[in-house]
Amino acid sequence: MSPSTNQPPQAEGRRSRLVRDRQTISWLLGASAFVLLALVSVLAITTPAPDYVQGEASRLIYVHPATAWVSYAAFATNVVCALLWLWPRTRKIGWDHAAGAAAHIGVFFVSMTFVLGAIWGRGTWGTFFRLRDARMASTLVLLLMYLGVVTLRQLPSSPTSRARRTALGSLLAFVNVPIVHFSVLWWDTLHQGPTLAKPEKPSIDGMPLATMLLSFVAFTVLFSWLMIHRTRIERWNDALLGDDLDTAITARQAEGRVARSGIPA
Amino acid sequence: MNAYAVVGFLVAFGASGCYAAFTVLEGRRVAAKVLALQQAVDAQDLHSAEPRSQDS
Repeated sequence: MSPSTNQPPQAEGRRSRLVRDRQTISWLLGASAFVLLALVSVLAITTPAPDYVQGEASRLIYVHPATAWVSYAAFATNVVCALLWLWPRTRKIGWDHAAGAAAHIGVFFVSMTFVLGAIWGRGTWGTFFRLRDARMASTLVLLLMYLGVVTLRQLPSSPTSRARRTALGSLLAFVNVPIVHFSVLWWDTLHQGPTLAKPEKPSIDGMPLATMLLSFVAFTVLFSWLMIHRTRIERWNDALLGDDLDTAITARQAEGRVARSGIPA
Repeated sequence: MNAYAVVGFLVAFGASGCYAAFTVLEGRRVAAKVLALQQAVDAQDLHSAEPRSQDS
């Protein structure tokens, strides 16, 4: 008997409406992300390069800061969900699923930021990477820390201990996010200072600014769509894992009972 | 446009597309597993199941 068929017809109707609404939202976000990213790709090619000195390589400003922004947003989502899980009044396994999804997406986007930064760096500074540079080194540490968080989630354990472990790991890793962001202000680095997030006027205007802002919107919409899908994957994986884990725990307990009683299995 | 910008755009849009496709495929794979598990549970008549013998 399916669990859904045990519910009264009204609850069943509400549930199917909710599923339909979620599918519609997911579809709309996915389609919007596709259209917006296609528009950004066209504008990034047709809009003039925003920096005379850096030349054509400076076109990467239309994608690199947006991917960095999404990685920050993903890590912020991850830490908020981790805190909501740690707080006893709001503790729900759903927060852990969302935290896991956000960490996964954040790792992808920070990797992409890293690669795009390396390409841009090679074109303007003549080097892909310099370990002694504060922005590059702190971004590498951020990537490694969140890879650790994602790896922690993969270790076999009960959902509760996994959630506790990864929530604490997320809190620790998030400390590095402001260090990465402000590294260009706190230390002398090859990396340029902020273009938009500064008290005075942004360093670019007109079409380059519009294209850059549109890329922020496009990648944020993509992030929202990915969050829906990855959270669902985390939830479904738990449903599968729970079964396997219960079987394994029962088997280990049985082995333990046999060992204690001294009766060979 | 120079080679750095071209490679950068290919990485940005290509990797995003690949990650989105990977997410959809992974979702389908996990959904198929959950469905198979649910169907296996549905197929069992749990009320009539006898407890397994301790000797076996």
